[in-house]
Amino acid sequence: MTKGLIGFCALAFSALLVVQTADAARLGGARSSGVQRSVPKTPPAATPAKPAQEQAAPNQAAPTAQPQPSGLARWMPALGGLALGGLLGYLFAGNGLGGILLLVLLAVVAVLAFRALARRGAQSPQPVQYAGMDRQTTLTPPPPSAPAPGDAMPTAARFPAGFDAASFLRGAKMNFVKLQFANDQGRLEDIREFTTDEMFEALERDIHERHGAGQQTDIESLDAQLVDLATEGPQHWASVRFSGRVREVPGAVPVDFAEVWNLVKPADGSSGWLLAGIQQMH
Amino acid sequence: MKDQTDFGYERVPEADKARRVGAVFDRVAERYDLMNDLMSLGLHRLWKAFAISVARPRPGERILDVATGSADLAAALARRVMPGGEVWLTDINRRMLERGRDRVLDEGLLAPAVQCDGERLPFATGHFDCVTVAFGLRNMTHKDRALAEMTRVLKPGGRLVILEFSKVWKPLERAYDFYSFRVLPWLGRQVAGDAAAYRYLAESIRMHPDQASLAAMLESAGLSRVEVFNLAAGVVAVHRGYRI
Repeated sequence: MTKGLIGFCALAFSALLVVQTADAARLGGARSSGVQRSVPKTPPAATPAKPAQEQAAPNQAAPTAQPQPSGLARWMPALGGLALGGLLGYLFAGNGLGGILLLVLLAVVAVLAFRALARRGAQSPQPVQYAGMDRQTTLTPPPPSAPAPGDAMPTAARFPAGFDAASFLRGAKMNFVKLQFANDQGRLEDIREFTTDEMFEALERDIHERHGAGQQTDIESLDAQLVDLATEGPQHWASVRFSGRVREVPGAVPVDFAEVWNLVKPADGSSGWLLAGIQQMH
Repeated sequence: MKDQTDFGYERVPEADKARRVGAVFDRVAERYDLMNDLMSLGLHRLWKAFAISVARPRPGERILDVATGSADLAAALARRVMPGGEVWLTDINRRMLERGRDRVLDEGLLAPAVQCDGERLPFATGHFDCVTVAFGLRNMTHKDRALAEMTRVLKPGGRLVILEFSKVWKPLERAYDFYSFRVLPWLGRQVAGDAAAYRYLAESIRMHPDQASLAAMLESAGLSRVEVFNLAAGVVAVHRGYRI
């Protein structure tokens, strides 16, 4: 009986897993499809993904050191909580002592926050000292003359002057979201507008496989980085690495994703950028 | 002197206020979010969450967020009106609007952004289910005109929700004044490098109509069933009115 029950539970659980996998729903079904290009596996800068407004200067060498929280910084959350508690207590109880305490706490928190901020600003450009290398320091970014094989190429020389990467990426993100929505709704004409014929066929097949049923893909966060831009014959190619968190099944836990979209545009300008392929990075 | 208006405690020509407020936000745009957290000890997040619960957005609705700033409210609203709904971002200040637009996109949401004056909204009459404005009304030159415009673009049955600093409970006034006029400008100088901008903030809060006055203004603008929700003992208040 117990064995039977366990077996049933295992079966039910595995069925759940299968259903969740089959429902993996973002555009392209979280698989690689269409044109695949040789792109770096890692984003161009070793820094964590940054929101669009911080990407205006993609060519800066990124400091990679994560400063350890200092003694004061470690206490910041506790002091913040204390101050918050003081404030709330004061506001709702309203006695004189609370007011004085609140002001003292406010001042302390403000000073600490400012110091932590100033220290972080001052630390980040400094070289990193590795454990066991007493007094010796090493710059974290490798010398630009000798990039390791497979590493991201330095982005500075890649993109032609006058190419507005920030605007391009903003447009790319908007189209990413639009295409997810069109895919959810099974709007083939919207998908066709932004895809090559080959890619469209693959995506159309996905929609037909689910019999055009609607679905909901919630993007929780989205970052985009331009990892390659090239002109080959009569075509411009751009590879954009999208990453972030997405909830592919309503109510499910959002999952991290990272995929490169290969975009193509005729050099004669006869059409805009079209999605030619998706490459999974995980 | 009818063409003069308040800019904090200063009296300035009406034509100058929008430009001067714009300059304030241009100066503080980069550190705006950090300063909000420091100034309110993070409470502004709770206040915005409360305003959203008062706005009660529903899937499929069309919402206008006036003076959207860094789009804290708009991003949360945009998620709540999905699927099928839309949130429009507007701000008179281009830099703040760009920050808001990028912020919303970073959260994987699409929202149209329009740079415009809250006193002259470029939208059809009866177009929105809900209009929100968080910490923006205070900076507008003619609040009555702005309220009339926001009311105009509401559908019948639509609601206007205003989150704004208000009049603090009397016994707390002295401590609040000390915080506003001593601590805030100092904090502004240390963090955003601009004490004047934050002195303006404190002064403009004092010049803003109190709860009852603003509620009366909403009624004058044509809204009904006006309600006021005080938060943090009146440091801020949420006003809600319906266009019937």
